Amino acid sequence: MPGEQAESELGKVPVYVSQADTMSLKPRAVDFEEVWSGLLETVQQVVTMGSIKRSIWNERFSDVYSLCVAFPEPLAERLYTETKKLLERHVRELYTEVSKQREENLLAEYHLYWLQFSKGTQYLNNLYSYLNAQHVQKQKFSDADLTYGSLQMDMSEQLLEIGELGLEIWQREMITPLQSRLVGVLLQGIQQDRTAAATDAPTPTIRGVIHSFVDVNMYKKKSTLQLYETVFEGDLLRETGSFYRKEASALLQECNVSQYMERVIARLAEEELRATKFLPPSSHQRVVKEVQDRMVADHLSTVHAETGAMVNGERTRDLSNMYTLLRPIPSGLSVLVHHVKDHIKQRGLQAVTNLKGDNVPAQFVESLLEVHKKYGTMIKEVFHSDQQFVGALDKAFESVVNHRGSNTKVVCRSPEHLARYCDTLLKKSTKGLNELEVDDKLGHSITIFKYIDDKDVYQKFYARMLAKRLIQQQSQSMDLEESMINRLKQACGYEYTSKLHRMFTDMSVSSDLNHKFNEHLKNHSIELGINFSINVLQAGAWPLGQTSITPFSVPQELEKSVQTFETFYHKSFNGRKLTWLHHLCQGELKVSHSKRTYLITMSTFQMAMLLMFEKVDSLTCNELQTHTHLNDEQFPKFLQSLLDSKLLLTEGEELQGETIVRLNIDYTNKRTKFKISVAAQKEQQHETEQTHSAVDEDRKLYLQAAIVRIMKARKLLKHTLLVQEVISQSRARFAPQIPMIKKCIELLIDKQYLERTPNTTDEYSYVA
Amino acid sequence: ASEKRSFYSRIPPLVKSASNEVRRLSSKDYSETKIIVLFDQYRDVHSDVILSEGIERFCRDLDVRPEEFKVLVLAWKFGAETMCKFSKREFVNGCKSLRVDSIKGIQSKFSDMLLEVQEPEKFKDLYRFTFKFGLDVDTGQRILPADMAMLLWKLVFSQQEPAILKRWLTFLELHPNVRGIPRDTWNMFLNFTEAVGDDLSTYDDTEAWPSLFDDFVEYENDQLNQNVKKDLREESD
Repeated sequence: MPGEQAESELGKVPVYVSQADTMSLKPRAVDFEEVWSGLLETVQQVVTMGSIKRSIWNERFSDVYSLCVAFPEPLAERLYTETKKLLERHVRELYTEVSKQREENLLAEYHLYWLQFSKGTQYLNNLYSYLNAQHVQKQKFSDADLTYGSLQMDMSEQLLEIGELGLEIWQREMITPLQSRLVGVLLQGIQQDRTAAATDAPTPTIRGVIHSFVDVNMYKKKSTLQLYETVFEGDLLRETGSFYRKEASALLQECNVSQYMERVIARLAEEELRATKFLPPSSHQRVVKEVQDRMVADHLSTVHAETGAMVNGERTRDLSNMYTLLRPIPSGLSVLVHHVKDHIKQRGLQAVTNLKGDNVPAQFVESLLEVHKKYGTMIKEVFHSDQQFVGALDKAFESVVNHRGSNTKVVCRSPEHLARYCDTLLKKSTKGLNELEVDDKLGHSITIFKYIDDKDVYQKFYARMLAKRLIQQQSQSMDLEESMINRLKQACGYEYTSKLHRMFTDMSVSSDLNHKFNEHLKNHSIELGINFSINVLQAGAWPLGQTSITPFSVPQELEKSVQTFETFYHKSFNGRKLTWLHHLCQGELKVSHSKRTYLITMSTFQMAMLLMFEKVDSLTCNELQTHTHLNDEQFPKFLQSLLDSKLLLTEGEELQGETIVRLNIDYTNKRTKFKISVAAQKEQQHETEQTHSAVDEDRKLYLQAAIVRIMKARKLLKHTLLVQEVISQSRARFAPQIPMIKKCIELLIDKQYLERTPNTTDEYSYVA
Repeated sequence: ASEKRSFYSRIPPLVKSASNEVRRLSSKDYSETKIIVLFDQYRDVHSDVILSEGIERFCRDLDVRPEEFKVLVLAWKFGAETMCKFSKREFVNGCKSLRVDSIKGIQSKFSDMLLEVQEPEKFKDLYRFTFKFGLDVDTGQRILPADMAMLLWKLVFSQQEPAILKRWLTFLELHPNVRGIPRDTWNMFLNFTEAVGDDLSTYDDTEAWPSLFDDFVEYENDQLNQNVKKDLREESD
């Protein structure tokens, strides 16, 4: 059938020859010798990159085609064999030519011929594309055969495309016999480049020859780098290694570590540049690593020996160099990290030990922050904020902030200092700082706060001071107070600040209450005779121990107010118990017994005593104390404060019994409105102790609750596991001391929540 | 609580003992009537118990001192609730379980009893009994006052003194702030003496020892270090 015939013929027609309309595409008888002799000439021209006329070049395509489709028998195989022979002959000739050269010209000659030949084979490959596609391709193993086929396939028997064949011949006939000479000269060239001597061959030549080891395999589907790696790279790395081993020991002879590191860094940079100049990309990293190994990893101990001194001297350039050099070495940085940590710790401790003066808390916090900032910056700039160093800074600060000194029994004062620092900032009297600045400082204080182990101690102090600020209206700004509490909440969670929040709520509820109370007075036309304002505080939320309530009888002038308020309050909130905290109250007293009138703010206790001089000018201590009911501890303290203010005078030494106290009729003061306070020094120490013991009590409760919770869940637990579990549960609040945990366990055994599992000594069971 | 339970379980239930009584009476080696007569010799005039005065006479007749180890063992045998007091039930049941009804009879059992408590398990029981025995039941004491504890330690260990006991008691004497000994500490002290022997260096405060032992070992080690330092100073002088 004619239609079929036409199709099958068309199927064999390559597109690129279809333009030659004068040519017959039909297979015909061809005289091989005749066609080949013409082709041979052209092939020789091509591989030597000689000039060929366009018409001849075009004709050769059809020659290849006609041989391949020759009739009665295709001559493709013969063409392939002849071409192979031709190429082999050619390369052998070239080899003879090249191998005659002396070493200094070897590379240039080789390179010249390589360029010609590799380019030529590319053209040749195009010329033979019909042969490649129709003859070679069919006999070639498929990709699948190559990937999965058995190893017994005989690769040498395989037909190659002409381009690949040419390169294969080049490798076999040129590179293999010449390889050791070539490599020797190449390595010498690189060596010359390293020692900054003039190279025998120009850079492009060296590069070209090296790349010829790769390019000669460019037709291969896999392991194109194999020849390069076995023939050249191995030797190169060995050579590089031995060069830099020598270089390293030579340098260490003449320079110190600091100079050495500079030189190594320079060497590394050079070598990287050299690698890009000469070598294929796959080698760059390997060469650099070889240099690192020989110059850094092999001399780690030498470098480490200097680390301490460099860190202590804060020689940033050296440290930065060291970081650069050690970072690629596995675990190479650990010694440096360790030294940095120790150094920061030492500096931190230096900054905060032996603080003296009034504002120890401020000194403490601000000098710590300074140290933190300094090393934070250093870590950012020198160590590129590497996580290991950031971690070292944190660890160092944890141990500085929670440092207790050699005596482990002494409590750590950091939480107290930090809380006092915040208190000073939040109090009204802060000199010359605007709200933004204060807020900024408070924000920074959180940096230190985060390192504190005993967050519960800070919380307790903070709550006490906040209470004082709120009650005595000393707060500079409610916005500041709130933003600080929010920061704490952010750092520690809602529960941590819930009591602080409740204190705020109480204050606003109280202001409403005062409002209502005043309305109540107006509605019922009650006259108290004084201005009266009150805060009602929930006992649970405020750190105001009931224990500090001492006996006191309210002065007559206040009695009505107190009673009216109690009646009013109980009417609105039935069943709530009011406890008056007189020791926290204060009043404003208008004093007009002397020439001028003064408006003095003082505590209720002071006021009670001063009010007794309303009708008389002198009283005995006995009378004062009996009337006010103040105890033997409070009485002299508050009386002394009035004596110190010169409002009252006495000749007596002892503030008791019949010692007479007089009103100072000639009292003068430049200011007409002021406040008298009680000497606070002793107070503070007492307060500190109280706070710590309150914290201890809280901790015991917390630990017991934790132990019971754990045991309830586990039923049976070994002692050490229980202790571990308790520690991990408490970590967010404080770092519990093991003796305290033990005591709590004992207490619970005693209370029969737990018992020792019978016949064991180290396991507890939960008693349901 | 467990202590109490095991304590009571040792006392035979009343009904059962009544039935036993018949059988035992027939064996004729002791008589309940005689026991009751013996009890009545020592009982308090106003109540149905033997009080300290009676116990003193009882001990005199037994030819032992009240603070002697034998008396403690006897109290343990009788299952006495507390010191200085025998209830009628304790006395009668105790005598019955010993199968005696006279002073001579009780005396004859002492050597057996002393032998019995040499057995570790029995001694442990006696030791644990001693804690409860020392508590003042009337005031509902749950923690043994330190001075009483020290007396009882001396007493309970009087036959076989642990190597560490003297140092332990000295420690307690020098630390009057240790006011009382809780049951767990008392019980664990027996384990402690067994575990450390004479050598505190093996003590590990991360184990589940009551914290008072931690304090004791720390104190002892401090003493040791001071001595070492003193020795060093003397040598250097």
